[in-house]
Amino acid sequence: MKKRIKNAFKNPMLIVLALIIIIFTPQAIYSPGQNRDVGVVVGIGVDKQDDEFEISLLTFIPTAQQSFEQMNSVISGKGDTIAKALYNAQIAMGRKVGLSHAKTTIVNQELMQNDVAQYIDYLSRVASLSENTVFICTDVSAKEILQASISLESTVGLQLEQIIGYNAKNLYVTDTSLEAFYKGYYSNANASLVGFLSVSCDGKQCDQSTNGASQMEGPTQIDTAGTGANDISSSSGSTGASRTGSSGSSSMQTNSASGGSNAGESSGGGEGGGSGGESKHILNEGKAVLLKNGKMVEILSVDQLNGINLLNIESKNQIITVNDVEYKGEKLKYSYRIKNKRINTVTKFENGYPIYTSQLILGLELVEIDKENQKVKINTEFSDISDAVKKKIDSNLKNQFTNAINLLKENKADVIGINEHFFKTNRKEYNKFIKEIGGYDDFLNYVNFKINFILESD
Amino acid sequence: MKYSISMRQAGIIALFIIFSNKILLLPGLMHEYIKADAVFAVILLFALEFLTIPIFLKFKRNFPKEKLYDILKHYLTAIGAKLIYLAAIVFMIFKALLTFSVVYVYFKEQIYQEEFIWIALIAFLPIMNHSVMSGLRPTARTMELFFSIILTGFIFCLVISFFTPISTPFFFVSSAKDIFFSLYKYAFTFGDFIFLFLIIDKIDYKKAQEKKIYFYVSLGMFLVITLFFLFYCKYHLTSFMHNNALADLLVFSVQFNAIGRLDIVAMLTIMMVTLFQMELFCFGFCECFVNIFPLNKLYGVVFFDIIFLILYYIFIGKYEIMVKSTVTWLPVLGLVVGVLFPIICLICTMIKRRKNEKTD
Amino acid sequence: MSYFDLKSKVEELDGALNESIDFAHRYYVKGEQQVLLVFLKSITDQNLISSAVYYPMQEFESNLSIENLQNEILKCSDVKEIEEKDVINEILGGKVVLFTDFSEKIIAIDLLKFPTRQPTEPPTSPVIQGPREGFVEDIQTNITLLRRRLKTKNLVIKSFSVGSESQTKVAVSYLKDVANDDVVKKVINKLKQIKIDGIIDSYYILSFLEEHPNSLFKQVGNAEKPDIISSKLLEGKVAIIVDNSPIVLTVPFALIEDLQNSNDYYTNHHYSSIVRVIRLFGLLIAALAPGAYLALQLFHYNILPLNFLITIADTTLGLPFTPFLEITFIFLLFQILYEVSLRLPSYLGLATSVVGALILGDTGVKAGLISPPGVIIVALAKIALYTIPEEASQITVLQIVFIILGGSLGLMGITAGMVYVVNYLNKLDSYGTPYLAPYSPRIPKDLKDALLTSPVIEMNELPKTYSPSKEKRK
Repeated sequence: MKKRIKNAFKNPMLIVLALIIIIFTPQAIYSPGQNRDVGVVVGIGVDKQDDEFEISLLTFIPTAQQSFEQMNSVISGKGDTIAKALYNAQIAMGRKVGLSHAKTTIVNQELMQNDVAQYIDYLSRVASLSENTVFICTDVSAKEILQASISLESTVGLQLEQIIGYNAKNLYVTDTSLEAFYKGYYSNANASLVGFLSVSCDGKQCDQSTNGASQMEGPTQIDTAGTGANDISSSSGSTGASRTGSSGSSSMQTNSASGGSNAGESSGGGEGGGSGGESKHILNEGKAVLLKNGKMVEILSVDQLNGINLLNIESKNQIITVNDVEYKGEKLKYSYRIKNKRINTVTKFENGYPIYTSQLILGLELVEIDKENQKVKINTEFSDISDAVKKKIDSNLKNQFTNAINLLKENKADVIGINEHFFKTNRKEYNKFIKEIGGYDDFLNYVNFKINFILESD
Repeated sequence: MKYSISMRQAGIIALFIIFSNKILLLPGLMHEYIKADAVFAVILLFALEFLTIPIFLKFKRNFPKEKLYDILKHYLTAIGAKLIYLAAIVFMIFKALLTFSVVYVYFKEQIYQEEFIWIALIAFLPIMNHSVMSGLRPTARTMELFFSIILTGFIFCLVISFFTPISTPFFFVSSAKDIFFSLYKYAFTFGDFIFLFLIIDKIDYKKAQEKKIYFYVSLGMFLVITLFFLFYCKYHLTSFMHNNALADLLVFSVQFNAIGRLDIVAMLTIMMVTLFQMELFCFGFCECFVNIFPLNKLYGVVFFDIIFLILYYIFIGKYEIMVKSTVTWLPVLGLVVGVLFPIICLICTMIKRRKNEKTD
Repeated sequence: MSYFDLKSKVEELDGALNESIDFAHRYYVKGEQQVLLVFLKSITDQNLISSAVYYPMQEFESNLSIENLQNEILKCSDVKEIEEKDVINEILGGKVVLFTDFSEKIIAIDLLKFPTRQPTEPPTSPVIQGPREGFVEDIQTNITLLRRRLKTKNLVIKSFSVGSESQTKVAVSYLKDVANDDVVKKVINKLKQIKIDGIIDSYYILSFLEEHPNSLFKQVGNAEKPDIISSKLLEGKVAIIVDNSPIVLTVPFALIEDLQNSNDYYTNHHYSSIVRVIRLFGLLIAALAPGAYLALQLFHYNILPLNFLITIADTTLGLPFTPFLEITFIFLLFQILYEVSLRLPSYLGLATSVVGALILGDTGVKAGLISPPGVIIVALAKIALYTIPEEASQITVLQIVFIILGGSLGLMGITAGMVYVVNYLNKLDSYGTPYLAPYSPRIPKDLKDALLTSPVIEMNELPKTYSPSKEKRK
């Protein structure tokens, strides 16, 4: 026996294996698995009330029914620092907080009154929140957004990051992740764009009056609280007349966590989710928050975003509407979609001042013609864009662009990378100019934009 | 020779030691100092390092079967040889420490999410010790087998970054002085080719296969430079926030449905690369140890473990101290090993040649 | 004068064979001449004794002499003169030993006969298309099967007797000028040095042939089909054929051999390349899957994609076992089922699989004792094991090791374990052949018949892996 043991241990690695079995395996035998020890957080919200922070964690709760559906709940903790609030949330949860699966970070706009980077620094650096989480700002409490997102997910299988992902792809045309925020934050202009979501309440108890108002203005509503996950249907809903709004804000309507059956009623009956009491919906109006040095300076509307993104080659699908177009004695309203976009940009310094000359070649597709609320059938007759229409579109776009640039100039927030463009192409003059004006912040104000639109039918 | 390794295996070893410390922390660290111009700094450092290879091959040609220690002893006396070996031994142990500490922090953040030092030590140390005890040949063969897997993983990490928007970073934003100073500052992360000199007697030299060594060294350097470049293309100004270059290239990549977290590829690649690097450093340490002290490699392994653990608690307990040391006093060591040592070898080669010519 | 006292000889031999009941003797008297035949009834052909020995002697008209007997009378192919000390061994070897009172010489006639089976297709290596003959327990038949395939004078077959009690015939076979001489010498030396009472099967001499007998990994190849052994002989390997065993051993051995299957050479080479890659994946899945699954559950939940995490979390929530115990439990369950199904008669096998799969697996999951992902992972690993049945026993041990490593140290443990195993295998040379060749060390020319295969026409060189004496196949 002794010889056998001696033989077996001729290989020192067997001793290592024996050590592992003695020291580590007992722990493995007792360990219940990380998914029972750790609360898997899929979304995180930060609020600030007075001097107290509140961290809300959208946490995945496993169920023994083996339904393989994601059941989430919101758990929150308060504290005078972010770290303490997270610690308290952890206590409330009764598990270790695992942020590695967190896909969304929502911050209340209160926090953005100061440099928001200092608040989220703890989360991204210490609490190992990945930088590719979607970063969202809200004017209601982040906790409410997270709560509203639960039903959004259970009813239509849509997640917050998907909604904001759509916005990011089609409206801001920039990433809206923590990383993107930091990229802007550390750039010369110290400016970044962050997605914006809100909550609308149908119920009478809802005290978010501003949100209610915005919803009434934009009544195009997609009621997503159907019975099936894919049941996204258009209904007249509680707000009455549909499809009359021009700019059209849309609201993702879901009901609160507990009101599954309620949701069915609201979509079927058309009497509105209001009857159910607390029915909160994620309100996505396509807005974005403009940040300068981590502080919120402006909430941008879709129109403003479209203006800013005119210079962005990736931004397409934008709808341009032209009113009062004369056609056979009648006044029609045309809607065009930007199908193609080409941009030729030349930057230079003239007389020591930066000139940004850009030629935008837009391929437009006529998508709709309205004649006093009656649709006209689109045919080849309309394939060419008449000069009058071109003129109108041109002035529309120029207005849109001027407004957007003025807004950026006002806030010294160069989110479209004008600084970088000049740095890339005219580095010497740029550096000299920056020295002269004493910093990057004011550079945008000195840039003279010369934008020329060439419109083509596509 | 029974215990020798082929030229291909030597090339693969060279490739692995090129990777050391450069694929995780270094790109971010250098960006903090000289922004995207770090790419040029790396290219310059590699250019310098690349010169070591012809010196090494010339050295090998002139001293085909001799051990490095005997050669140095012959030309520099025993004390001189021991001093060089002493520098190498310190270099090896600190390299091992640095590699381990950087990787440990990465794994702690990304995979284990809590302190796991005992797990890391029991996973790493026995493997390193075993490879030393089993000799260079099995170790080199193991590396040869895993080479293609590691290469695939590495290239995958690089290629996948193209699936996300990338753009060329701004170069020439730092002054030439800063760039040149960074060459000194980060010298410790280079100069690893001393390992090839240490195992010079164990390489089965064939003149026709010299190009293999050149190929693998160039490949390793190309991969590291590409990593630097793509990393800066992807992160631009926020590069300094990302401490795990190779793994972070995958973070913002396309998430393929159920596969989800692709960074597991980077994790496994880094894990394997690190294991091999640590094996090589341990091997280098023991090779120096047996020449300095009249003891066998078993003692070398034991001493390595003890010194490693002691230094770990002095340095790595405070990770920042370790990283700081790499840019304060360790670069001097890096220069001695990376620049001075090859020059000494070159001089030895020239003296030998002259002697040969005279005798002819 | 009488050379042998035949009567006392019979008594002497009967005593030497412990009065064995199958010992038989027969006197033949012709005039004054007397002949004694001794043999074992159980292993000699009785009819042949009559027709080839007894009857011809009777028919022979003149006096008998040893020369007559050897050259004319006995109608057998193998008649030879033996020494007295070998008599017992010859009788035990199925010979009829002939003593006469007119000569001091002793003759042994080979009339061995025992029940043998036909060379049918072995159950362990069936082929879809290809030769179906398999080795049998009789060494002569096995040698015949080899000879039939390699009609060359270079085919050397050397025979030894091994085992003090069993006196088993062991033959070493190789192709002269192809096989490495050092290997041949080494094998013969090793066989000569074997000290054992009996060799019942070829696996008995396996550990004598292995250079690292304590190792987990096999270092000697084996096959049950003559076509496989012939091709291995052509590659320069040495075959060891053991009497009473249908398994023929070959050395040197490299791991790649187990990835190669005789089927691969009888189908399209593109297809066999795919199959070999799948086999390798099967091997990796078999060894690593349970350990990796455990590591992910215990240490790295954050690597798992959310959807998969949800599945695992939901299914493991109500389990009474911790993940480590759960996997160990399922692993044991499968191992027990495997052992049972192996030994049960085939008509009961179906019942066991029903009980195993339905009752234990399904009900276990429904009862909340085990989780479906756990069952799937272990089942997958257990099934994948049989992509390379030759390595099943080794991989099973590795499975246990990796379960311990994965459960105790996580992914780092598994990676370290993997590197260690490869390092160990690289140290494990079998008769000078690197175990993981042609990949480590890389032998470019041998890659033609490694994971990816080339058509036979391109395999015009002998694999260098086994260091053959010549380079080209002709």
